Amino acid sequence: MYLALRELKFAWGRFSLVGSVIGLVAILTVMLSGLANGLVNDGISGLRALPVTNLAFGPNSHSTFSRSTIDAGTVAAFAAVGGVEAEPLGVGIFNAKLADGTAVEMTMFGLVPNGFLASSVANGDRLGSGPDSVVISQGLADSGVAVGDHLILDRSGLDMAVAAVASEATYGHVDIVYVPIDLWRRAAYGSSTTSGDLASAVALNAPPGADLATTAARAGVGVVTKAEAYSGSPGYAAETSTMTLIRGFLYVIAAMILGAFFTVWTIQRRQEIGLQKALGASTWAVLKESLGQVFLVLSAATVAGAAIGYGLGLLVTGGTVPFSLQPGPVLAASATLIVTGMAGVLVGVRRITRVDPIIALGGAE
Amino acid sequence: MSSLLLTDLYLSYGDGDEEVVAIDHVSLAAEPGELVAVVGVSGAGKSSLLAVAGALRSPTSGSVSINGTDITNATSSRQAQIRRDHIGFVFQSSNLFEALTAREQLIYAARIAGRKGKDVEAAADELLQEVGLAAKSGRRPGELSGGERQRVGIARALINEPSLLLVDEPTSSLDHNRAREIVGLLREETHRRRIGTVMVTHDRSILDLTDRVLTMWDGRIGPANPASEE
Repeated sequence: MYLALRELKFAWGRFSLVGSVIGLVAILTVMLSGLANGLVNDGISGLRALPVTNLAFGPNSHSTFSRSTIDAGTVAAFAAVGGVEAEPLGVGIFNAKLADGTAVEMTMFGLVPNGFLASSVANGDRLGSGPDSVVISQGLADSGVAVGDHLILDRSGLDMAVAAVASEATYGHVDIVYVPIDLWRRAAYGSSTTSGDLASAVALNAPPGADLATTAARAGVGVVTKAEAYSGSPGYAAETSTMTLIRGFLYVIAAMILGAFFTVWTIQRRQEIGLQKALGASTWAVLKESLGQVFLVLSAATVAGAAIGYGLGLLVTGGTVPFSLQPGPVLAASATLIVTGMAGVLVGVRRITRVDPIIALGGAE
Repeated sequence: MSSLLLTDLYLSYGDGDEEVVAIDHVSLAAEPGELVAVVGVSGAGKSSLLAVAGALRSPTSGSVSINGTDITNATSSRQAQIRRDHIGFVFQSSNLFEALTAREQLIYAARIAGRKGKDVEAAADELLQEVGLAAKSGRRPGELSGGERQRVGIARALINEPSLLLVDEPTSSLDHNRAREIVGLLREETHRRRIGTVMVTHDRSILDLTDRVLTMWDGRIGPANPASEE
């Protein structure tokens, strides 16, 4: 790296230019990573926070709560499996109004009061503490709904009293209100006598190796893991695949930029590469110098870009844009950028191996 | 033992449908402490001769021996090793790395040969002193004159203590006085260090500084009077 480091210092303007472009790509990658995480959180944070390992959905529902209906018999069948906790879970998006007429959109999670799901929610013990008492998530509290307020559901006119505030939780980008399962049933199915034991899905907390498949087959339902159930969140699959695609394009762009730069740089340095070889440097040694040089620029630009992106992300976090930065995804995105960038550089490697040292002799070409 | 021994060397290459003979059964020896000049017009085969002698090309036939080591059929990696360990090159227009200072040019050449540390730095300083550039050791090629660049090139070629010095048109971009200074320096280093030096040139004004002059034409080689015209 003796020559490579000195060339970096000598031609810093040229390297700064390509470094800035890579840095910008790194900033974009980190910002997209934060946006993707934010969207994921906004889509499924309420579901992710529940202490469940699996969910059982009704037939042909494709892990989507709004398409699924299960009954008490199914819940009981799973509860009978050794070591498995099973509870009905109701999930649906509703509109309501406060007493002053303010419209409120909310995802209602219907839970069994004092059940294992309700116990996991902050202030979940207040669920059903009074007639139709509910617990709102922090997002609703931030938007002006307070303990003691009444939420009047549109159409059904059900009156729900806000008894407590839980931590931030959303589903389908809508703030969650935790309600007793019976209240949820009245909201979802009305007062039909057949709706008394229905719910959207069975929430399961099963130990590793528990045989859920047999019970699911007998009950005619499908069991998925909690992570698999995320895809049922409205827009989740489309959002994550869009973000993945955009990030993929950024990686490809970074690889192409570096590939083009390295190729041009190698062409410009052809005489020096020939000279290195004429002085006795092996092709591998020349490659190490050249690739090491690009790796340094790429790594430094990526780290700087990621740091700037992280800083910008912190400014955005907590605002109206769903944005969430975590070190893991940022590091993964940065590492991927470096790997794909180096992959792009490999395009120019052949140009180095093909340089004939004889070009160092002026008249012998 | 000759620093360089070329025996019945033949080099040809294809040019379209034709075969071009670059070196036509040439034999040549350069002894330690001898500065041999090879003169000839463009296309005479001088640079091809340097390429084969410098382990940059393998001959079509004949043999090449450097300091007693036969390198005729050496692989490209073996050729690179021979260049590192036994050969110093002084190129036309000096051919220096633009990012390196004069001192760094020497240190880098030593590092290519696997040498580094204080000893190398001291040797580099000493060589730059020898070629009269101690005061300009921190300058890059762009900050040196043509003659100074060529002096750095000579010092770089000597840093690994080669047994053979191959010099390619060292005076092509220099005026008469500078050209004589450079060849004088080559002569001095050749004699003092007991190196075999082969210098190809078309500059007849410096031939009186060499020990032996050979003329090359159409790939063939023979003795010539340094004062004679082509």
